[in-house]
Amino acid sequence: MEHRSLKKYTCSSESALNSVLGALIIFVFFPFLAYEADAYIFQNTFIAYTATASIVLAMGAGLCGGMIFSMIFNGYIVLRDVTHGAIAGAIATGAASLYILNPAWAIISGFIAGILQGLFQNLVENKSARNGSIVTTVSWILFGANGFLGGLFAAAWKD
Amino acid sequence: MGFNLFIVAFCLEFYPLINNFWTRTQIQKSNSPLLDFSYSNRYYDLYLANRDTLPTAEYTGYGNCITNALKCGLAMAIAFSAILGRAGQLECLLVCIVGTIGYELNRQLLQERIGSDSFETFIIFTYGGFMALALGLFAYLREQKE
Repeated sequence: MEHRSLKKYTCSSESALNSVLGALIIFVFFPFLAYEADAYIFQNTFIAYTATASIVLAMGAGLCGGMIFSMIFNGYIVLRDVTHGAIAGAIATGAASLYILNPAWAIISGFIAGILQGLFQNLVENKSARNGSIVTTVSWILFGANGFLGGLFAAAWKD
Repeated sequence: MGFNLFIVAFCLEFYPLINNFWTRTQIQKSNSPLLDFSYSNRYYDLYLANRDTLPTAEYTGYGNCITNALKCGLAMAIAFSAILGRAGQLECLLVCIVGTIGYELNRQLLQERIGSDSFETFIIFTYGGFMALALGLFAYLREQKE
């Protein structure tokens, strides 16, 4: 018989599969948020295409960063760090995507965001687990902290 | 999933009203004083697609379209996800009302004052994320009190 507490915190394979499928859909459609933005200012230029391509590259780099961090920090790959790393890379790079013309910067910023996302999330969750409190870290670390990081990147690249 | 459907449906209905209110305050014009309420145009356009986000010769730049309403729904879903499972329908309704008002205020303030937000990083994700942090703190304090 499975232990009650273990059963409570075990993730089903169906839930993990849905998570991966959701991440795949996000991987395809998420970059197009940058495609339509500021289209009137930059119409008849190639900026909208490079911004979208930069975000695709940043998502891939964030995925790799989250995977590498998860392997080093946990000793094995946690699926959540990988999927969140891709989204973190997109959000952190997205604010500056109009100014990124060299794809290397998109890859670097996405990689940094993927690593920092995994680091912050795991540190906060480990600390809250030691205190016995329930903290939902996905929303404010994945979106809020990476949005703030994106602001720093945008300020850096704009000048 | 039901909560998210409710949030998107509510934002689609409620967003045009809030957009209309903040547009008439002239808050997005950087050269006018805040809360002017001198908007003279009596008629107000609703667009289906994302054709009205920036002022041009053809469009007025209200940003009042379904695309922006869906973006508002995305921000509210991000914010509510901090207390998802710990809050009920009434909390969801309050988050949607307060969050939509704040979302549109934030969007119109940033529209012409910020240098770059091509991915809507600040408008959707940073706003939703920090609203989620505030909601999570409220939920934590309430649970501590109980």
